[in-house]
Amino acid sequence: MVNMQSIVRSDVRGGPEKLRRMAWVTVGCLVVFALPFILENYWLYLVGVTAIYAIAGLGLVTLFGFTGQLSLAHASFFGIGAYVSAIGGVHYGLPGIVTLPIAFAICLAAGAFVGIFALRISGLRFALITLSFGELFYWASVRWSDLTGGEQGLYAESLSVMGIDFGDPINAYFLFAALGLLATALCFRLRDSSFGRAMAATRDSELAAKSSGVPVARTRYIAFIIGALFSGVAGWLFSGHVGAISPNFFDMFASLNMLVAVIIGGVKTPLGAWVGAAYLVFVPEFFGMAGASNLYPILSGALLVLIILVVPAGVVPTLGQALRQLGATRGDKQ
Amino acid sequence: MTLDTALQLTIGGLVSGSLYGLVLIGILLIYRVSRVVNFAHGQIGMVAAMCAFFLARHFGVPIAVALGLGLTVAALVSYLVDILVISRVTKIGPGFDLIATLGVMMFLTAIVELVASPKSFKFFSLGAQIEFTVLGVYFNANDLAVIVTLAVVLGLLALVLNKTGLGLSIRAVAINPEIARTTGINVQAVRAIVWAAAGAIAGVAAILIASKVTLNAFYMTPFLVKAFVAGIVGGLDRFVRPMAIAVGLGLLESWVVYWLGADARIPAVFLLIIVLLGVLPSKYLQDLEQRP
Repeated sequence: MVNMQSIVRSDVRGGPEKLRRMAWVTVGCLVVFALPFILENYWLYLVGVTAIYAIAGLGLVTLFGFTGQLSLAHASFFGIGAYVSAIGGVHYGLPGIVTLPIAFAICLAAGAFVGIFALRISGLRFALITLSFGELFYWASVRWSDLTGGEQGLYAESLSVMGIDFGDPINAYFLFAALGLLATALCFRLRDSSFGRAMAATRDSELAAKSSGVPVARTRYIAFIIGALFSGVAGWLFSGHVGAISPNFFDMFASLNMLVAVIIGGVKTPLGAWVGAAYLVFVPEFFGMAGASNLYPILSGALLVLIILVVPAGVVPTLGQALRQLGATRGDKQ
Repeated sequence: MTLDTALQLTIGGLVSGSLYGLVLIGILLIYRVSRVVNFAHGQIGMVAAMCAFFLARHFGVPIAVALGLGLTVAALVSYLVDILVISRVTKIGPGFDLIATLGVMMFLTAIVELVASPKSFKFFSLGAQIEFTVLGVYFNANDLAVIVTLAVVLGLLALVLNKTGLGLSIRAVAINPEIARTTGINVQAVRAIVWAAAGAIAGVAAILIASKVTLNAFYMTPFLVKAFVAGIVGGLDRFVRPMAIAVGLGLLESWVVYWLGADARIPAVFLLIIVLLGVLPSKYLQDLEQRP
């Protein structure tokens, strides 16, 4: 009888749960469509940058949050995407959209190559491998100045597809919002797929995963390539949107910042990538507006430590839990 | 290439390798007792150098006293990092301890930048002006000091770890803190001593490095990266192998810069890491604790 009751209950709960999710999605869509009417162009531009960093962050969520593999080359793949787009435009006069498959292919190849090491080693040693490739990429991007513009970097033209100019902030905003949501949906699907469970098993216990037949090394390898592709596509978008790129966007500290961002947001949920990206883009902006830019790094370091100590799961899961608890107590009262 | 040049390159490599080694010692010590990779280690040393510099330059404190005070501050900061942050980090995944120390690193960097302004300074030369030539090889007292310091620190460490009661406690805590506690060892105190000592050694390293480069909030980063490289490739739970790799990295850089130019330094080091980790038989890549 107890069982029956719980089954009935869970069925009833399944209904509103779905409804509630649809309500959230509707609210989200409304916000996405309302923002261009509320915000000025500069803020819309920043929302675009946020969406781009969120897409890159989704790659890191997949790699680090889902699979537990640390990477210090995430910004390098971002850089590969950005440089392919900018170099294609500046040196070869290629329209933006043509460089996308090229960027995709190069990131795929680079990810597949660096990822090979994940078949052999894991943990800190693999992080060191990614750091090494990251440093080599940075070195090359400074050194091969004929191609990359060296320390000064390159100007990149804004994206324009079939007569739609994405240099226009509103067009760009809708493009990035759409792509960002698409990437987020993809990341959710990935998490809930059988491959997602393989990734989680690899992360939580290599031994247990192996003994239940999960191909641990291959899972890590594929997760690394997926992460690289997310980051590369985001980088490709970045150069067109921001208009100028230089090696500093793609160095070790950039990779660390991306890592910090997703940890603040919450590494195990795709939404964490958005919160993290918003943190990366907007918080320095607010500090700048308050005339206290120099306080931002101090806060940033302190906040990171605090987050790790107080809410190690990140902002999003903690908020979600708090909301659910709130809902539960309200439900009890009724 | 003459013998002089070869010797000169070797000495130069030994000096920078010793500096990597000095930075690495503290990282290894801390890893031993806390199983934490301390990203903030270099910046703790940087705090010592900055403190010493400002005490001597702006408050007229004698250099030796200022250096001593700087080391004390570094030991204190290192101890506080353990107490306030590391011992409270709940390990919810791989790399989270690393991220916490990364936060500490950013915090320390930002504070020093705010207090000291983001300018660069010329630190005390610490004997670099005393030069002499032996067998056609040029030396200065500062270079010698670096090598001697590493030898002294290593010697002292070996002595303490192997011959004293404290050393025994440290080794016990390194092997298993829980069992160490049941035998009556004050694990907290041992950890505190090791963190403080590591901080002071980081300070020594940072002060020696500061006398060779320009002093600013970031000057320790390349040295920290090399020390980490040596530690991670060699194994953080070992001692001799990572130290040898640290000195080897210094030698490699020195020779590569001679043969291929200063520009080749970075690719040489990182390509070597990729090759090493890519082709070394996996038995050399196992951590001691992973062994059956």
